[in-house]
Amino acid sequence: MKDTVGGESGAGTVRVKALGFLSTRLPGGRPVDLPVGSGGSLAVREAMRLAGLPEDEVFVIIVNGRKRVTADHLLTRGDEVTFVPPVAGG
Amino acid sequence: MPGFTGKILRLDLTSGEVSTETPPETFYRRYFGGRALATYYLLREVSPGIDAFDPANLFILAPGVLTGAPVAGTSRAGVASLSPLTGGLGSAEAGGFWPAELKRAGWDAVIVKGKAARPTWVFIDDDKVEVRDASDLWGKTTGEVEAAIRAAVAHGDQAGAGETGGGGAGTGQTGGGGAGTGGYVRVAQCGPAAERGVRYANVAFDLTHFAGRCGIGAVMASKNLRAIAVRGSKAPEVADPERLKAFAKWLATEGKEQNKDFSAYGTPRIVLPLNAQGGLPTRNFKSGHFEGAADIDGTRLNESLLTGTHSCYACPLACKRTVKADKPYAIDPAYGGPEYETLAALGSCCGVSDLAAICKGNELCAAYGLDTISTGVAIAFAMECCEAGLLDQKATGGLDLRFGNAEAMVEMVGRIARREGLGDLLAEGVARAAAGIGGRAAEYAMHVKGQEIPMHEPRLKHGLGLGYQVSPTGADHCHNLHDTMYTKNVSSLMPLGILEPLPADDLSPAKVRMFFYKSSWQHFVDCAVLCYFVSWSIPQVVEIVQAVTGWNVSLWEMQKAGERAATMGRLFDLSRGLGAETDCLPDRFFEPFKSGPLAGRAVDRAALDRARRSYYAMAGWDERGVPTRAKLLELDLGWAVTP
Repeated sequence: MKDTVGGESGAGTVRVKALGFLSTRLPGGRPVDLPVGSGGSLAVREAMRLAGLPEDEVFVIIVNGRKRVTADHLLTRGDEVTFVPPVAGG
Repeated sequence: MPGFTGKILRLDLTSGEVSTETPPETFYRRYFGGRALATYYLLREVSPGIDAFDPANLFILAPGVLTGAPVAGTSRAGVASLSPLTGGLGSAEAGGFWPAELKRAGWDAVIVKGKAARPTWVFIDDDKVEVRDASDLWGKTTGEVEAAIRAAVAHGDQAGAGETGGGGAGTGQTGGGGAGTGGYVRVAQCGPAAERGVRYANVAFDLTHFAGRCGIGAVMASKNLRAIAVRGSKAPEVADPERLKAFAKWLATEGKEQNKDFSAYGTPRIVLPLNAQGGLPTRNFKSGHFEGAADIDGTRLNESLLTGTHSCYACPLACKRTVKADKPYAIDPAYGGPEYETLAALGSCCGVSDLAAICKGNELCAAYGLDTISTGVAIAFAMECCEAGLLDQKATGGLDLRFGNAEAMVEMVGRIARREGLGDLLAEGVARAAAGIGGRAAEYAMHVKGQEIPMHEPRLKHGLGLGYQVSPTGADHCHNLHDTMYTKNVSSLMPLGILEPLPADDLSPAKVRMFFYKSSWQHFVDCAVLCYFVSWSIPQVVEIVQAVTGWNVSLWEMQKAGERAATMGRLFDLSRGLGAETDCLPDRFFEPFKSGPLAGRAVDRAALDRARRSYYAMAGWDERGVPTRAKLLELDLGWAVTP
């Protein structure tokens, strides 16, 4: 089941995930699909804002499970972006 | 008096003498409890040159001024001795219910010296103190001992109020009365691994709360002391109960959101974030990224083996895990469940992704009384030695001890606890084990000052690496800095005067200052003694200490107390020959990762060396890492100045 913020689920979207405690910030605590704009891309920073993730709680951003990117990176349709918080001891 | 009872219990197990020390209020205001209180006695009474297992070593249990207050996170105590693992300061903390109960019984600390003629356990029932025979407890698991002691106390209660108790090895009483009100007895104990002198045997409170590091449990057992049970009848006095109630209300309302995820998942949910960052210790720190991370993360634990959670006295977070299973491993829920350090140490560090096996390993460590960090790193060390051809199947007793072999990992936990075969060598710690194996084994021994490295990567958190080097207890991740938390937002550190974030791999003087101030604060927290996991801010902690003690104490004074504790620890280490030449990291951390998110990243040796020297200077130590006379006087440690 997918949650979306505006737009249709599955068509022209990027999937937003978060690890650790950051996942509780996402709506419903689950991955979110966001629509890619008419220009065919969505800035990571904008994805963070739309998903309700505070920028200063994100330490690492990973696209498609492999590539580390900055908040300026442009996501394209079908991309999966994972936001990773900093963590201390355990 | 609010915050402290003014009474320290002293037991000499050689002579059987039980006595009370009554320090003045200034003692408590200067040291607060926990690490500093314990190190004060260690410095003054444990002579250089004696071995950790010598009866002259002290075994100390020290709550702090906050312990026993009706505030979340305060039921904690420090546990301390000369460490059999490092040969320097042994100092660790644990929570649960035992610490608050000791304050309820009217004591600020328990200091044990000497050695009993036979196995003993001690029952502290308010001001009545009995030394009892533990011959039928010796060799039993921690679970069996806990049950036996509770049954013994209940039987004693049923036998009648007139009984003065004791019998067996000898009795001692500090005063009349105090037969207890039939309240619940709490148990602090070492386990069968400690009885065999495993150098990283731990001390447990209430079966599932562990003062894990430094092998202090082995010192307890070396005194023929298996357990200290306590029961108290009087809530400790606090100066401003109304102000404390406001904190409890805050935690239940505004603070609840901050702690929600921790309550649900505990520490295990940092596995995947650390893995994504490239800082999850994998295969003896050869890598920082583990392909099986999702199998051992807190989300998976909650979905599979978790059957419940439990908590410490007065804390609503309930971050402690409870795990149960039948097959393929029978896991007893009485021993709780794994924290993050355990999931990584017995898991990724050993290349193991079998969550049930890791939970079984955790249960065995609890039942035998082993520190899970040192146990996991010791097994990982052995696995690397096997893969490098330094240990053959004869040495491993036929065990296929390679990275990823979950059954072998579980089997080795037991062999270490029982000191069987290779387990006997590994029970000495990786430093001594490497010396015994020879060849390249020393390259695979991941320790600082003999204490095994915890599950946080210096190649991710570079200031943490500095902290590993200079910690008075060897490699430690608690009184340390987790750099990644402060690369964007330093609001939580601003009360200490840290105003700007820094990159995680920065080792500039600004980072050294951040480490110095933050670690000083953590040392204070280990004196108070306060839990790290309840989200109290620094200003809130200051208010809590004021409200409990009634003192007009300030953050500045608390920072100084933390600095004092760290410096006392340094003096203790120096008197045992642990100085600047032991303030070093294993070479592996200066080698870049070959793959993973941090591929190509290493700690810069020259930068770390500069940082170490900067730390000495900022801390008021000379270029040899020795605290100067002026610094000792400034820290009100004039008694520690050597002429």
